[in-house]
Amino acid sequence: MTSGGTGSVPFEARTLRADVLVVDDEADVRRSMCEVLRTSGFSVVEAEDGAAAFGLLRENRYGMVLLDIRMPKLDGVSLIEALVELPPVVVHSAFSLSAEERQRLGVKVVQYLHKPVSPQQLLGAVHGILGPAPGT
Amino acid sequence: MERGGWRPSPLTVGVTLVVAAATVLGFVLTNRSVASQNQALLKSDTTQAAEYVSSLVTTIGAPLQALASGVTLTNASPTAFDTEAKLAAAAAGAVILARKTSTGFVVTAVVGKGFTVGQPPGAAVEATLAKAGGDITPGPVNYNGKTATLGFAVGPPLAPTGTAIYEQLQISPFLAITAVQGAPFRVLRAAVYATREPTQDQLVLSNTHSLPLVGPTAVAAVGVGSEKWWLVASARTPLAGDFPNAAPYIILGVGLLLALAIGSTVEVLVRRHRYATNLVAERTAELDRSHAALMRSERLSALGEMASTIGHELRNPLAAVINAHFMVRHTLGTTITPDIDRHLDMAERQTTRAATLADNLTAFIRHREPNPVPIDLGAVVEEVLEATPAPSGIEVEVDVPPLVFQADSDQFTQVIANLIVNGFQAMPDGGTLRVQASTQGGHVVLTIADSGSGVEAATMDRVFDPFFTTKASGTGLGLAIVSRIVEAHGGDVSLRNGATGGAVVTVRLPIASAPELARR
Repeated sequence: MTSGGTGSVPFEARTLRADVLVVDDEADVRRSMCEVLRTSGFSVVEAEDGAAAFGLLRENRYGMVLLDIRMPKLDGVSLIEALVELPPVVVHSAFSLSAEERQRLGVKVVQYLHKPVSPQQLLGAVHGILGPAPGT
Repeated sequence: MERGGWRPSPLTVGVTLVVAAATVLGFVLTNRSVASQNQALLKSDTTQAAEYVSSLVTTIGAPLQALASGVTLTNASPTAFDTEAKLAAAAAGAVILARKTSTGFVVTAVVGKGFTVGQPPGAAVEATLAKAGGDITPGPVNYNGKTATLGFAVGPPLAPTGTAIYEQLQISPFLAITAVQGAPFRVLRAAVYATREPTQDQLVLSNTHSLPLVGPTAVAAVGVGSEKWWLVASARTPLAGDFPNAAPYIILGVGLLLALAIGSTVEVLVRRHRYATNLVAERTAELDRSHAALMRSERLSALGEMASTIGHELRNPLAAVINAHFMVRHTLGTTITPDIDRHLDMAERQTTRAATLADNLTAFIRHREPNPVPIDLGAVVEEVLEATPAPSGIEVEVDVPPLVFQADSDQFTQVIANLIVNGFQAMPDGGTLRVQASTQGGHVVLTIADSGSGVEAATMDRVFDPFFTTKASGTGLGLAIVSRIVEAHGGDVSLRNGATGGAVVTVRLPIASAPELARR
């Protein structure tokens, strides 16, 4: 995972695949979050772990990423560190990050949400980054 | 080290007594040995003295024997006797020549006083005359209360047959005769008696007035002709010598000093040992206490770890459920009935409560360093009240001016949430919750007051303890977490019962000047 951060297509040239990329290894949490976002009019793509997310983020462009931290294969912090070009990232995790982890993430993470977050708060965070949903 | 004061330990007493007893035994044994030495020396000296007296008497008796021989030669002529006896009588009181008769003796010639020719000489004298032989025979001492006389008789074969010669001497038993001033008499108190029983009126010779003799005495026979006298003697000074006689006392003195010295040493050692033992016991008790405290804290830590794990595990399920509630409402839309609404409401509330519990479980252990950022106090209070709306029957009054200060966002939110939820739970039958804030000298002062029944005095000082709760359910961690977070921010929290009943929690936090704030 060293030089793969740039991907095969330049970042600006990529098409927007979806508004939100939801990354979480818990199926129910992931799916219910997607449903909440979709009911508000956002397009959503899911990834079930850091490795899958890494592949998607290298090839595609998303409006933002909702990222869980504790995941198998590749955890959230390492994923972010490994990627150079990223859309805004909102961390959505059951665990608090240590100061060292936050430092590693730096400015790539724009907000930290602490599970369990109410759907209203979640939507508030998404609206804050993407504005109102397209078509609304 | 002074415990026990002046009372010595039993060991000390025992050891001292043992050494003292040994010393006393040594004293007794040495004393006895010296005493028997003294006695042996006394015996030998007494025997020596007796022999000397015997030879002395022989010397005294020699003239009498010569006289008897002379009388025999002159065939008991009274006139010849007169001449010869005068010499003897000069030293003696009287000298008589007696002739044996069928009834006893009769005086035939006298030189000196006390006897009459032609008369019997007296019963005592006759008895002596009857016993008289070639050797001089002493008679008993004749003591009339004032003076004492002693007689010696000589008979056949030295005197002519049928006759006997009797010499009577006046004796002064205490007369210091030069002869008895030399050794061994110098070291002895000696007395010579004519009989075995040392009776006063049979005293012949003595070099002391202290009669009868007291203390250890020795007796030796003094050979006087065919008879015996008896010499009784005691020592004037210890015969064995000064050092042997002092030895037992030296032993006693040294021994007792030794007993004291040993006793003191033992006592010091005992006390030191006691001190050390007490110290060890104290330290062991201290160690036990520290160990117990450590065990308690480890147990608490283990409990905390477990609580933390459970708390974290609950988060994802709760997130899913919260999302599901949202989706149900969204799906139902306007077809929602009041009943469904009520059920969903309850489900959402309880889920939020579960989330707070999970937060409390993890927060207590997580204990992360505060990451201070500028916080708007009013905004946080609003946010919390939105997430945990007041149960029906409870009114919330918020009096919080615009206030910005430095604190960890997540942690401070948790503080407010825990305090507000506590307040709600204190009023199961409804009431009012007042949230107030102000600044006082560089600190933010926040009070949250409920109108419940307050906190009992007995439990007042335990309310901030972890796992302490008066509620039937609950982790008892809410206030402990508040306390932990507030203190980590350099503030303090206290609880008291309000004037109108109910509990009042006061949180003070430093505003903590930051470059950004200073510019505001």
